[in-house]
Amino acid sequence: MVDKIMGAKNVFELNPIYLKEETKQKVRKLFLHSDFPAVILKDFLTAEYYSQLQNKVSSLDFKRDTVVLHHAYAVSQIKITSKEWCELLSFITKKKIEEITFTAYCVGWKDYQILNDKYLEKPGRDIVIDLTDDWNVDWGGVVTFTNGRGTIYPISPAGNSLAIVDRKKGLQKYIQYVNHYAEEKKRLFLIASI
Amino acid sequence: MIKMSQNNWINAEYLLVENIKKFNSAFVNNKPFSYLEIPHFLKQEKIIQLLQALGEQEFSPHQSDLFQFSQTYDLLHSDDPVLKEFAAWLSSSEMLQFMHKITRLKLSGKIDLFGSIYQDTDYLLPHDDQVPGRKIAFMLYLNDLEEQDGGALALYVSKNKTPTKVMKRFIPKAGSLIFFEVSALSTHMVEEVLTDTQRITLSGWYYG
Repeated sequence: MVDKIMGAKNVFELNPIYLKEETKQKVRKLFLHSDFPAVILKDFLTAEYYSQLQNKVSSLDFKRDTVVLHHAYAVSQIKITSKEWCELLSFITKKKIEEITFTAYCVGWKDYQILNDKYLEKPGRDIVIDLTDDWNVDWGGVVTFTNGRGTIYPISPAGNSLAIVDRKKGLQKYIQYVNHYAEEKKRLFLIASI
Repeated sequence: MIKMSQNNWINAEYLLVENIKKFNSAFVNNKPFSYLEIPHFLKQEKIIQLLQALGEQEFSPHQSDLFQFSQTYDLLHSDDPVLKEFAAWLSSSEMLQFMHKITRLKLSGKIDLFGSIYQDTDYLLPHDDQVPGRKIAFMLYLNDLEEQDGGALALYVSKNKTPTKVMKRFIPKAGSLIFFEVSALSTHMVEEVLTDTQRITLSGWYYG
């Protein structure tokens, strides 16, 4: 079952700064031309819409999913069809996007995702939306990209941020193990490959 | 009895034929896969010597998707006299014979040997250790941990060659030796260390 979020009514969704032509151009240039092709957009959503999205995702029906040699976490799915989102992401990535189906992750103590040859991802563009405000990076749970040759690109946890990563050939991602200092806390984030 | 010319590391009773037969039987029949635990394998004074020798070694932090801990370089090349002697004994023909009689695995004499320290929040996530040539994985614990410290070695049972759940756990005890046959079934992990008690081991592999 995929929960669906349409464009929000009477609520501005995206931080207006990201709708400005100048900003859009700058972000696209950064994404397409940086060494590690990725951009992170802080304060991506308006406070009101961010709060709505957090509530929506928190109330999803998360299911535990464990494949011992690959991952352990709880997941659900959510589809976003908002025109505002799709237009902006299409512009930045130069790829036509009409809707985005995200996997929603809920990770806590002992959860992880490791690299495994049986679960290699094809090259693509990953969108990571962070929905947890008070997560301490020392607890783990960081979505990390690696080229498998010792270079890693962690996406630092920051609530209301959106990262777009051009996951080229050879680049894979994992979720760092969550340690006991997280206690009962859970980290929520969305990932979609487009 | 297996004669060990270089042995002053372990208690002689472990080399008795009847004990080796018992070890072989246990190794073959243990579940979820062939393993053996020999408590108090190392003599007490040797544990202290090894700890002192390791204290002089450089431990580098290692971190990846799979693990977080600190490790020495390959101790086979150590200049430390205690570690040198220990490595020579571990790879001696007598010790190879001891391991062969228990496991029935053909060993080449090649080994790897590392010192590892796991501190608070360190871990090694599930994996099977399979690398071409590796036959036996071994761990020698050099200090005691309690259940609340974490750091247990956990062995997974597999269903249709897929690991499903932890079947056996070992809380490290000083001087204990644990080894298991490396195979597609030998999925294991080191659980996260949860306190300030360090988990100190000498570990490596016998090759065939």
